[in-house]
Amino acid sequence: MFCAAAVRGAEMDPFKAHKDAKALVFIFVSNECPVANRYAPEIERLHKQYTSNQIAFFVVHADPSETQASIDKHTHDFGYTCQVLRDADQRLAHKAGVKVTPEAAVFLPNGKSLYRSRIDNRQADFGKARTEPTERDLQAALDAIVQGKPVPKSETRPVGCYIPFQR
Amino acid sequence: MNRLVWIFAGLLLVAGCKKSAPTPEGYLPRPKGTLTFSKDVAPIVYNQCATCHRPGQAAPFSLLNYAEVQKRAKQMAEVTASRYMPPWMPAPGYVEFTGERRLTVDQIGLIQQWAAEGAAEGNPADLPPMPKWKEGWQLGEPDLVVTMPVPYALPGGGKDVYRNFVVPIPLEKARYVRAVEFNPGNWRVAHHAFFRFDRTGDSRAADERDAEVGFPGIHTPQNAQAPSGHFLSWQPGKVFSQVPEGLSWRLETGTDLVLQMHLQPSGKPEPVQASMAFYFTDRAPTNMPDKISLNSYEIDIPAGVSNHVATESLVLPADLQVLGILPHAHYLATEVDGLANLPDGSKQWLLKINKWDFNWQGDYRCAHPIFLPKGTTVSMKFTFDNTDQNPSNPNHPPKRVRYGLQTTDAMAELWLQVLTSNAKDAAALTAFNQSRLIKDTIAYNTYLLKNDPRDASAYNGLGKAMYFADNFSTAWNHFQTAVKLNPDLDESHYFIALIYRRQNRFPEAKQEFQRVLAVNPKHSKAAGNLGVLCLQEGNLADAERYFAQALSLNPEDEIARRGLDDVVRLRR
Repeated sequence: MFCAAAVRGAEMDPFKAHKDAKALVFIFVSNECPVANRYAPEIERLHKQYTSNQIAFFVVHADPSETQASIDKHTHDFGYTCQVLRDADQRLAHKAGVKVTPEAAVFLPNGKSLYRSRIDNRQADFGKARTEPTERDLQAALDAIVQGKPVPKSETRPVGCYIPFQR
Repeated sequence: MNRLVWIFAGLLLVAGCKKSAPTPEGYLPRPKGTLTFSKDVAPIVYNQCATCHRPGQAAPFSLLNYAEVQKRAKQMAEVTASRYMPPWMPAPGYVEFTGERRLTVDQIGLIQQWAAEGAAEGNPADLPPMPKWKEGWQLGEPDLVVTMPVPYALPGGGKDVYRNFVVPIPLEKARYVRAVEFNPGNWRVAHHAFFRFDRTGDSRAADERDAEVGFPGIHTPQNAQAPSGHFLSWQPGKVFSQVPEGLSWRLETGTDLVLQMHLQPSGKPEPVQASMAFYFTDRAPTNMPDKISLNSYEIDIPAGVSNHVATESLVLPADLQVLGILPHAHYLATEVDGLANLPDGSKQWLLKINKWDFNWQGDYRCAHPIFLPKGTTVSMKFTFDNTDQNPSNPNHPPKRVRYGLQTTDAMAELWLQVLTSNAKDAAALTAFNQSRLIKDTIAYNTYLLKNDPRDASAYNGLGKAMYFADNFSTAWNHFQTAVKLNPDLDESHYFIALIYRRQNRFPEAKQEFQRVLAVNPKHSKAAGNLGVLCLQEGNLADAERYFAQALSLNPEDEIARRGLDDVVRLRR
């Protein structure tokens, strides 16, 4: 299985690079989506919390109109310390089946999908955010993976900005 | 009682709605595949969206060309259909307000059909000219700009922040203000703002309680107020305008601007340094607007109830015109209705909000003043959803919520900016407001004491309400309780002194005024009163000293100026 994406311009296959991980987490974001941007501290928190549990964390940009330079600036401004991928041909986004930013997709290193949905339920609708999330879906999925339990499915449609898929 | 009035009003409305009901508009689909960005969508986007969706403005991304719009076509179709965008809370067809940001049903339908059919670009030659937006202050070169001296550092994450920033306004003499304009300094995180003015230093003291810039909360000290008879607020997309002819307001020297800002973290740390521009006029106001408020202090919403209602009504004491309206509620509110029942049986909507959103609150200016005759019943109805289905509910699981000042409490207030046209109506309105103010002040401070029975400033508030109701013995007791709880409460000492003076107990009055100055050496009125008392005693030296002190604290203190003249005259 091959699924290339670019890390600072260099092609890489995250699945090959993290063959021994328990899971790979991809969180799709975009430079200008305010919903995704407001999640930056929460994404960092999850990254820091789970990275020691052999879970590989990636932030993914899948809007082909975003340049590498603008992504680098975004990474710096929002303080991301996890790996940031540029999915300019949207192969990873298609494989993950994500539709919006922010949206999370979790895989086994062999490519099997474990989870694809929202990070939590903080954003109830456009302009309607809870003061605190009451359901942390991604965290529940990652806890299950760490503990070797079945991953609960989230049926809820994530709220965010549509990824501009090229036809 | 109030609820009955409302139900009655609602029944009448059904009968009267043929006249005032909004006429539904339908979208007539265009021939398939004919809609293009250049010809059909760009005119809407340029005029209705790009005012904010362009670099340096409030919106998070630009919508200025086909590429920027095409990649968000589906999003735009959704958020315009749900009327999340453009943001404008009042429902269509009820009251016409200035600066409405609203798409027609035809425009919404057109965007949807265009997006659903693939968001074609069309011929760029069909593009309308790009509007020419004015850079900088929209009202032109200001007479004065004040800016927060130190930026506030908003954290990248966490909850929304409500914070008040105190900005001194450097003025050498009092000015009449014909317009203000606000620049939030950081458009990414500023969500809405209210502007108040404080001459007492109370807001400054609140700011100095910690090292951080500003002080938290959505309620400022009671002495921080909007200009008399005016509302001042800002939301992204707000169009600032001049006050109507003859309605300028007076800005005194030594006033602090209190900027109350709602800030939404953006995901990264952001500095916020807001500015306000002032536009002055030499022409004194020829008329003065007033405000009328409806408040519900009895709100008590059980957990799990989705359509709890709070109502309030009043009967107008005079003929007047409604110029503007300001609703206020917190997270649980879902609908806000303001309605006038005229003596002739007709109905006039004042405000209709079907999807209240705490984040988009502000004041609305009537496009045409609404005339309401004496005897009109003005009523408000606020609806609350205290279930888990309301994502704005701050409590999970839901819990009983009562009236209160915290955003997690509930409030229901409807303010009207009104104008009378003759002295008789103005006097009737002033007397009416005075009695309502006394009632509201008692209700409000009673609420404060329920939360904290040792709240000295609440006793002070009750004392003032009683004092202005000419109930001096009850006022006396409240002020005495206040200074017992907080011996440094200058305002209570001041009112105690005033009561002594009313009783011709001048030595005691003098002692209390001196106590005011000992606690707050900047209390110009206490100094002026001491001057008057010393003058009465024939103590010219002390009188002169106190009058001079009062004038140095407030150069516009007319009583102190006349007192000094008297001292000079008596010395001759």
